[in-house]
Amino acid sequence: MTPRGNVTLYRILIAVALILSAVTLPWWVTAALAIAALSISPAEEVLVAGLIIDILYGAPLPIFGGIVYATTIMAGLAYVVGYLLRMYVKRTFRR
Amino acid sequence: MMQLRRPYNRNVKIPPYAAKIAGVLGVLLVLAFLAPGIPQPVTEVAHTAATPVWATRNAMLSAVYGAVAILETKEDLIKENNALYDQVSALRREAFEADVLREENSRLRELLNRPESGEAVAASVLSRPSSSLYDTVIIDAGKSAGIQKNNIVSVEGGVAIGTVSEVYADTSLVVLFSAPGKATPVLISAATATPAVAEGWGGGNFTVRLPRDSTVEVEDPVILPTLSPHVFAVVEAVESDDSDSFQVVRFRVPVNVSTMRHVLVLTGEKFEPEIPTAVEGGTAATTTPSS
Repeated sequence: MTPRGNVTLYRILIAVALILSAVTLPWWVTAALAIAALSISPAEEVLVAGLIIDILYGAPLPIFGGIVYATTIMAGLAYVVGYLLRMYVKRTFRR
Repeated sequence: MMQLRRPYNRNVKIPPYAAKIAGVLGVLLVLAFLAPGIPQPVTEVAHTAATPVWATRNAMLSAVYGAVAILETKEDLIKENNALYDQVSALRREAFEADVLREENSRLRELLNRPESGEAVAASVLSRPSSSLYDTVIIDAGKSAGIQKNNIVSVEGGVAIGTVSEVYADTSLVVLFSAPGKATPVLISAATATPAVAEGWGGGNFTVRLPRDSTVEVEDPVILPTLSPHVFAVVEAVESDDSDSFQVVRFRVPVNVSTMRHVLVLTGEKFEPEIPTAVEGGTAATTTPSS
C-alpha cells in the first residue's frame, strides 16, 4: 500500500474507533484515544467525537457554565494544543 | 518625499497552520458564547441511531458478566450464599418495618387530603453516567410512556438519583443529582432534618458545608424534600477542622450508579428546585415539588 493509502486507512480506523468509543465506552477511554490520535496526527475526528458526546449526553450544567458543547470545546482546545506541540517537537528535532 | 507608512509586504503569507488554528478557535468561541442548545430533533435522531448500539453493548456486557460468574469457585459461591441469606433476613425485618411505616404514612396523607399518586414507569438504562463528563443517563422510555421533564427518577428501594432533563419520543435524558456542580436542596438526618444544599461531585458523590455545630453523623440518611420524601444518599464522612467554623459532610448514593440496569420514573412527581447555580454555605433553598 502507498504511504498515502496508509494515512487514509489510519484516519478511517481512528475515526471509527473514536466514534464507537464516544457512543459505547466510558469518556476516559475516548479521551485516551483522542490524546493518542492527536499525538500522532492532526486528527479532526476528535472534534467529531466531542460533538457526538455532547449531542448524546449533553446537559447544561453549572460547572460548564451552562454550555452544552463542553466536550466539543475541550476537544477543540486539545486539538489546538496538540497541533502546536507537534509543530514545536518537529521543529526542535529537525535542527 | 518622506514615506510615512511601511509599504505593504506582499510576500508575507499567513501560514496554513495559523489559519487552521484560528478557524478551530473561532468555532469554539461561537459554540461557547453564541450557539444555542443542541436542537431536539438532532439529539432525537442521534438517540434513535445509537439505541441499537447501546442495546448490543449492554447484551454483550451481560454475557461477559455471566461468563465470569461461571468461573467462580464452589467455595466462594457457598460463602456468598450464606452472606446473602443473612442479608435477606435482615432486609425482611426492615421491609416489615417499612410496610408498617408506609401504611401509617398513607393514612396520615389521607387525613391531610394529600394522597400519593404512585404512578411510575419502569425503564432500562441504555447509557450509564460514565459515558460522559455530564453524569447523565439515557433511558429507553420517553414521551410515548408518559414521561415529562423534571420527573423524579429512582432506583430500587426508592432512592432518588436524578430528574428527567430532556424527553424524546422513545428515550429520555436523566441528569443525576450528583452531576458535577449541580446543587440540590436536601434534608440531612431523619431525626434533625437539617436543611442543606448538596453539591454534586459526579458518580453519585456529594458534599455539603454545614456549620460545625450541626449534628451530623456517619450513616445518617439524606432525604430529598419532596411531598413524599425520597432517600437521596447516606452520609459517608464528616470532616471538620478546628480553624474552620464549617464542617464538610460527604455523602453518597446508596446504590452503584455505574452498574444500574433499570430505573423507575415517577411520572406523578416532579422536582424543580429553585437553585440554578453552585453552592455556598448550608442553607437550603425552597423547592417547588408538584405531584
